[in-house]
Amino acid sequence: MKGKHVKIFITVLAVMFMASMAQAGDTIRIGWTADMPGVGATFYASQKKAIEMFIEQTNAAGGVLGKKLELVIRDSKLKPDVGATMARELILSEKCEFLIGPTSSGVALAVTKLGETNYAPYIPTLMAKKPEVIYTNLWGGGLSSFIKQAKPYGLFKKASITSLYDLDMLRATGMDMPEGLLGYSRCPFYAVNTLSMQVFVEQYHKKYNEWPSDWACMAYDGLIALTTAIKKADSAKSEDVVKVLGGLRFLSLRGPRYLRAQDHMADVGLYVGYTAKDPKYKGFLILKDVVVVPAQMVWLPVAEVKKLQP
Amino acid sequence: MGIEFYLFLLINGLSQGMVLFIVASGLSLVFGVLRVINFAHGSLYMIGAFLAFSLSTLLPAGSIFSFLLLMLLVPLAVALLGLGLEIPLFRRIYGKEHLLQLLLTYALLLILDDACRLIWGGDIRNVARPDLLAGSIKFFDMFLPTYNVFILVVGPLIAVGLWFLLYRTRAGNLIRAAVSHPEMVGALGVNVSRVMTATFMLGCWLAGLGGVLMSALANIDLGIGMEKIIECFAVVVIGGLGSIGGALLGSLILGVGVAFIQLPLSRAAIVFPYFAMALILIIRPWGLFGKPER
Repeated sequence: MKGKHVKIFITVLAVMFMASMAQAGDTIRIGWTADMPGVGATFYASQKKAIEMFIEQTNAAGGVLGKKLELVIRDSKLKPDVGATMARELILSEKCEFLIGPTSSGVALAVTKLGETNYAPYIPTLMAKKPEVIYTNLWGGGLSSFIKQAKPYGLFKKASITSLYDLDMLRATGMDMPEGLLGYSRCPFYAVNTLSMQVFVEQYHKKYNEWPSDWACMAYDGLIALTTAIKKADSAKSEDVVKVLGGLRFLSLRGPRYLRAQDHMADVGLYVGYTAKDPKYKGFLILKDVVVVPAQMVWLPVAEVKKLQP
Repeated sequence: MGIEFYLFLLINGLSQGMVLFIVASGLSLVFGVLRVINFAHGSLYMIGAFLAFSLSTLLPAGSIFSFLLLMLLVPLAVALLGLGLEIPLFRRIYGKEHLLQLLLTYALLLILDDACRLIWGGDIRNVARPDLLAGSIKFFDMFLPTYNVFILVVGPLIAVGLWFLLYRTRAGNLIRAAVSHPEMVGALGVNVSRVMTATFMLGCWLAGLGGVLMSALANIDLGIGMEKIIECFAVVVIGGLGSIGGALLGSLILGVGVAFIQLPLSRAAIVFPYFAMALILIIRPWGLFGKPER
C-alpha cells in the first residue's frame, strides 16, 4: 500500500512540475512580498486591487511581448527577515522573474516597535506642553487612531498636526479628521489632472466601488514602469530588463516620469495641501490647494546615495 | 500647571485603569477559585473586542442602544466560549502541576490568537463611540472625553457588582467556600465542578466586557490580547493573585501611575508597570492584598 502511495505522489509531483514548466514559457511571473498584517493591511488591500486590475487589463490586451502576466503573493509579515525568506522562495521555488513590494521595510521596522493602539494615557501630558504644531512619525492606522482618540480631548482646538495624509489614512479617520491641517500625500488621485489618471480612477471606481488609494496608484505606476522596461528590453528575463532600467522613461498615471540612471529612483514628487471637506467624497476629507513638490527638490542627491551605499 | 490639571490627569488615569481592572479581575477570580493562571485570558479579551467590532457593523451606528446591546451580548458570547473551553480542557488540569497548566493555557493562547488572525485578519479596527458618548465634557479649561467618564462609571459598578455577588449572594458564598474548603463543600452535597465552571465563565464574561469597552476606547488589532495579559499579570502581582480588591487597587495604581510618571520622566511610562511589579515582588512577593503561601 505504502509503495503505491509514493508512486502516485511522485506522479502527481511530476505532472505538477511539467505543468509549471509549460506555464513558465508563456507567462511572466511577478512575485510580490506584501505587508499583509497590522498597519500594512490597508495598504495591502488597495495595492492588491490595483495590481490585479493592471494584470487583468494587460492580459486582456494580449499581455506583454505576447506573454501573460501572473501574480504570486507572499506575506512578509512586516518583518524584513521574513520578507527576505519569502523573496528567495518567490525566485527559487515559484520561478518569479520579477519581484515587487514591499511598501516600506524601513518604516515597518519602526512600526512593529511602536505597535501602540491606545494613546489616551499620553495625551494629557502632551497637551500640558501646549504645542502649536505636532510633528509625528505616526502614519496610517496608528496616526488615524491617535487623531480619533485625541480629538475628544480638544487637542486640535489648540494644536495642529502634520504628517502623511494618504487616502487610506483619511478614509480610516473619516469625519473625525480636523479641517485645515497641513499635510502631505504620495499620490492623491484627486490632485492629479492627467487623462490617464482620470481613466484609471473611473475604471477602478467602477470595478471596486471605491476610490483608489495613494498606494493603489503607486502600485499601478510601478507595474507600468516594469512592463515598459520589459518591452524596451524586448525580453522577459530579469538580467536583460535590469540593463534598461537606468534612465527608463515611462508614462505614469502622474504624467511622464523617469528612473534616475544612477540608482533607479523614480522622479515622483510629493503633494502638499490642507485637509478639507469635498461634497464629491462622502465620509472622508481630502487635501485642497495642493502644491506639487517635484522629486528633484526632495530626493537624496546621487552623491549622498553613493556615500550611503556600502 | 494648576491643581485642575493634576485632577484631569488623575481622572484620565483612573479611566484607563478601570478597563484594566475589569479584565484583570476576571484573571484573578479564575486563579483564586480554580488555581489556574489562565494565559489565554488576554485572548478572550481580544475575542470580545473583535466580536464587538463585528457585531457593531450589523447594528445601527451611533446609537447608545447598539452599544449597550454590545455590552450585553458580547460578554455572554465570550462566557459561552469559556464554557466550551472549561468542560473539555480546563476541568482536566485543576490541581495538576503548574507546568501542565502553563502548557495548556499557553497553547490555547496561540490557538485563539491565530483563530482571530484567520477570522478578522490583521487590520486595525475600532468600534465607533455612540453619539451620546463621542463628545467631550468641559473640565475647567480642558476637555475630557465623555467615553472616559462613562468607563469611570461602569468600572466601579462592576466592582460593586462583583463584591455583592461574592459576599452577599449564595452563589458567592459557594464560590468562596470552594476556594477555602473544596472537600467540605463537596461533602455538603454541592456540585463543586459546577461552581468551578460558573466561576470560569464569569472570568471570561469579565474579559469579554473589557474587550467591548476597549474596542471603543482605542484601536484593536491582533496584538492587544498579549499586551493586556502582560498588564493583567502586573496588576495581579501588585494586588495579590486571587484578590478582587487587589486587582482593583493594582489596576488603579498602574492607570494613575502611568499618567503621572510621564510628567517628570516621559519615557518611563512604558516601563512603569514592570517596574512597579518588580518592586512589589521584592518587598511583598504575595502582593498588596494577597496572603503569603504556606
